[in-house]
Amino acid sequence: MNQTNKLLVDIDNLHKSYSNKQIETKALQGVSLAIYQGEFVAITGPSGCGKSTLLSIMGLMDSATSGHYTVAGVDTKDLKVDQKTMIRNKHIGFVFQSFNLIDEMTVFDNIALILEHRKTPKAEIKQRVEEVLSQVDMLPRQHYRPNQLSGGQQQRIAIARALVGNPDLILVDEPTGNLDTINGDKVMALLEKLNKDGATIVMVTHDTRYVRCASRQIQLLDGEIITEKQLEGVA
Amino acid sequence: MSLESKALRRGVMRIFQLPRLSLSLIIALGATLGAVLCVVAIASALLLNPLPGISNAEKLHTVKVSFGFGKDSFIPAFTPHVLEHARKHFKDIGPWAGISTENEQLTVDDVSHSIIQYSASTNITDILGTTLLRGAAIDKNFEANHIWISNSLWQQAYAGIESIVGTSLTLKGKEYIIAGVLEDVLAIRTERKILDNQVWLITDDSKAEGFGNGRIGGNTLDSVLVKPGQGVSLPSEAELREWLALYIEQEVSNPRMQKFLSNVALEVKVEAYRANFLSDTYQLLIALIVTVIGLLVMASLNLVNLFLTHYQSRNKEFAIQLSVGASQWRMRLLMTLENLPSFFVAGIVGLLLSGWLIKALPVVSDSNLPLLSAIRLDTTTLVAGVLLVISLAMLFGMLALIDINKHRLMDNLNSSGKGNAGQNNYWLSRSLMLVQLSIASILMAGSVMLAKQSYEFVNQDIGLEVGNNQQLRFEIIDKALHSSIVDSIKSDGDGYKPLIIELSQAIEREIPDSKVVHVAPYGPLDGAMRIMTVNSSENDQQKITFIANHLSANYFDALNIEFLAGSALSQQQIDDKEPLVVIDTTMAQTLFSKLSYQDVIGKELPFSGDKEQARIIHGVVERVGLQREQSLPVLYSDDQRLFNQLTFLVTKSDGTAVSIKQLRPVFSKLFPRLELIQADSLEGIFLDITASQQLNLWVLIGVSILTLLLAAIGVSSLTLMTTHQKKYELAIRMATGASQKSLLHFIIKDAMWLLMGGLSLGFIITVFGYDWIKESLGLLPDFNWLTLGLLDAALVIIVLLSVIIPAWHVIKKDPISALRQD
Ligand SMILES: Nc1ncnc2c1ncn2[C@@H]1O[C@H](COP(=O)(O)OP(=O)(O)O)[C@@H](O)[C@H]1O
Ligand SMILES: [Mg+2]
Repeated sequence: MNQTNKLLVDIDNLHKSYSNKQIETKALQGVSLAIYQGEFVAITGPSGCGKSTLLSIMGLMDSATSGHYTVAGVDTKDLKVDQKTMIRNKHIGFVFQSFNLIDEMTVFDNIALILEHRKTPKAEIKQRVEEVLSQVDMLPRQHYRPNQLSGGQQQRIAIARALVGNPDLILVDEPTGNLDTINGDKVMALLEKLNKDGATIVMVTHDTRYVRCASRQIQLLDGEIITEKQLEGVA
Repeated sequence: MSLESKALRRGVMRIFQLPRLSLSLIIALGATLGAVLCVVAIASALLLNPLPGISNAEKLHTVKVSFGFGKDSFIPAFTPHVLEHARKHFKDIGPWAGISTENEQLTVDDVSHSIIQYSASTNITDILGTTLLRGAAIDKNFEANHIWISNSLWQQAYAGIESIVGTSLTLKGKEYIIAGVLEDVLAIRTERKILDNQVWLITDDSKAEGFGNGRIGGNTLDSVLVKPGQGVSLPSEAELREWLALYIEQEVSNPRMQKFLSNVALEVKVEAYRANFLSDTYQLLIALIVTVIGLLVMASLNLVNLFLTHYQSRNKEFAIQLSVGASQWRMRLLMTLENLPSFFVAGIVGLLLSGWLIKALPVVSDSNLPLLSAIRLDTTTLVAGVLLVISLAMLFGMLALIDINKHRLMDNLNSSGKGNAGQNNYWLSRSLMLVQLSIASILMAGSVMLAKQSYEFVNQDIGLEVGNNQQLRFEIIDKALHSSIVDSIKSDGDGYKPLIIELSQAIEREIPDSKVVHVAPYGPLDGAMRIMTVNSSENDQQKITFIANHLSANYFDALNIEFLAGSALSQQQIDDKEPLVVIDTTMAQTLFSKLSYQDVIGKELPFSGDKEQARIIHGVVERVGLQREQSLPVLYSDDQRLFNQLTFLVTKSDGTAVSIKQLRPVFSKLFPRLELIQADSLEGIFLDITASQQLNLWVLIGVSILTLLLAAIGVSSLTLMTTHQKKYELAIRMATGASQKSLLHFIIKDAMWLLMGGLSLGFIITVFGYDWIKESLGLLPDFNWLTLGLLDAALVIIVLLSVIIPAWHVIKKDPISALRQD
């Protein structure tokens, strides 16, 4: 991988524990990680090893118990809620395993939300949303509501939403977890293409078949990174 | 469309699509806002707006000086003569004016109008700052036969004709020339009912008579006003006492009277005009404000629960919005905007309701509230309404994110409702419910105790039967006739007798099936009465204060007043002027506390009054009249005192009632020197007296029902919310074999501590706070344990039902289906 690219994510000795009624779960135990612009990182590992936790922290949707996390040059340690919100809005696109689309809104409006919160002019929103919708091949469905779409279609909308704001970093949690093989393949092809076009992607998956799409694989076990390997020349 | 306008549009849609939320909101908040805005309108009219007709109100002060007799009876010291003395004595302070009021009937073109007659000093309009609309201003150069009328009277009786000035009108048999038209003056403090049909007569205080004949209480002024000059201080209480002593010394010629007045207790008070005008109303106003604040808090707390439930179902949406970059404040703004349409509708409902309530106020409050016609939905009220609606919409907008852990958004996104979402609100809504139930039990306690008082007043035992008795009151309006009677009494002549006989015959002739049973200055249910204070002949230090009534042969029989000992006098005995009297039980207890009623018969009255010879007690009767437990002792004796009012008690055996409209022209033709000022059945009089309490009763019952309703809605929506939150727990319990009954038990147990907590908190606050509140709010009756106990029992039952019914509803609907979904 081209190491002269800009450093996007810098994680240093991250710990995360959940404590619920006397039981303490150590989800992350000293994770350190650096991700550069243009990379496609796959995070793998068995269920419960802390993959989603790590991704949530990277997406600023949860905070670490200790350790440092810098994203796009910003140290996230002492950020206020709304400062985190702004970083999420500007720099991060998140694709949830369970899509998390708002059923009360149309596909178009769901995707437009990010730009609306940025106060982008109307015309520009329309142009950009239609652009990403065609990128994920969902333009004809823009006036549908999420609950009128199949799982694979919803996942593509969720990806379009993550793309629409031109984020520096796209975080994807188990994109194929809720999909059948055909739809899973389609979504993976889409992610691969996005990466080719320059997007930096971090993807969590337990499906080893799709790891080959990535440029680097990180394996977690019990909250710790056990192996890290570059995957070269995969098409 | 921007997110803001979308939110607004969503808010409009919500009114129709989410009736559970919006309808409850519109009903609960609308009803409460109706009450709130009505009170705001009242407060703004009374406290903030200029007093109609009195533009100088803020510069004026009232001076009150009264002679005190007994605990609660005061007679104003100011008459025009006394006022003139004060005016000269305190001439450096500024101009003084006095005003007295009278309710009268005025006939114009054969149409009779109820009016209020103001008799005032010649500088009255200057002092009040009342605007002249037509003709000449009130001025000391006018003769006393000039009269001014109010704008309303001009419009209503004279259709606002231009040529009104200079025409004449007849009032109480006397002809006056209309000199001008003044704006309506509504803010005069008086016991009488202020109407907007008004006439003004002027009194030249410098020509008024003093206490000469030894009687006080006649010709007194309702208000004495002073307008102090710039930087001049008002007379102090001590200065006023000093001045009155001087007046008594210089102007009261009768030495007995002088001695009496010098020793009598004095009440002296100098107040700002508005404070004096409102002093009786402040308590009512405070009570109203406290009540509507209580209701508003209850309604809001109710809505908090509804909104929390609503927002809970949208948590995921909010979390997604936050995760894609919505700032918290933007979200709150959006939710506020979404709330606005339904809050706005509630506001409109509230405004309509308060407009309607204000229209109904004259009926409801009768004479309890002054300035009724000036109360309306003014700018202050509208602004208050809009501000309230917007701030409530904002407040509820703020609630939107309360349940979201902003630092752990993932939790909100992942939990699908099965987990412990809503734990935050669980405690919040429970504490709010606790507060709400306490407020409910306090409000209910207050209003039920007041209602009980009103009920007791309306259903009080007055010790007599009104039966078919009618009351006719005549006033002697001819000065010459009056003074000839006075002269006749002074020279031991027949006094009123011939007039009374002539009138009685006329009454029995003109009114079919009627018989005159009693003639006195006042009727048995009148608020006014003749009070006398005499020295006991046994002990010169002991003073006896009592109500003096006349003695007639058939009076006790006609009203079915019970004799506890002795009997009534026969007509023969009365005609023979036998020195016999009847007293009531209070008098018997006051005079002879150690004797039984039987033993009192035959005793001599231990005071003489004006009579030379000793008088023997011939009978003891039950106490009668309104609130008779508190009444002064009564003496029934043949005692011809001066009065220019003759009140006839007439029994009508055919059971029909008399009407003043019919009788007035008949008697004014027969007796042009008299005026019939009242003709009503005793029953009608009693209903009139109790009418305002009767309405109070209904208003209070309304408040109690509203409170109970709010509490019931609150508890049941909280129950729905908790059962909803615990849907999975309930489902799992049921799936593992719990019966429906045990589920119900589970829910009730959960709600029980809350209900008991809220009710006992309210109970404790009521018990300990009641006397404290009563101190500042004199209209509350004494605390009553039984009432409070019954009330709380009723509240417990209502609240329990509000838990059981919705809970059972949910349980019956197969909770297990919750497990099968998603
Ligand atoms: N909100 C939470 N509260 C308590 N424990 C949690 C929570 N989220 C995750 N965990 C625990 O943290 C560990 C890591 O979970 P997660 O990151 O979701 O694993 P993965 O995505 O790899 O399956 C697991 O043991 C899980 O039980
Ligand atoms: Mg996971």
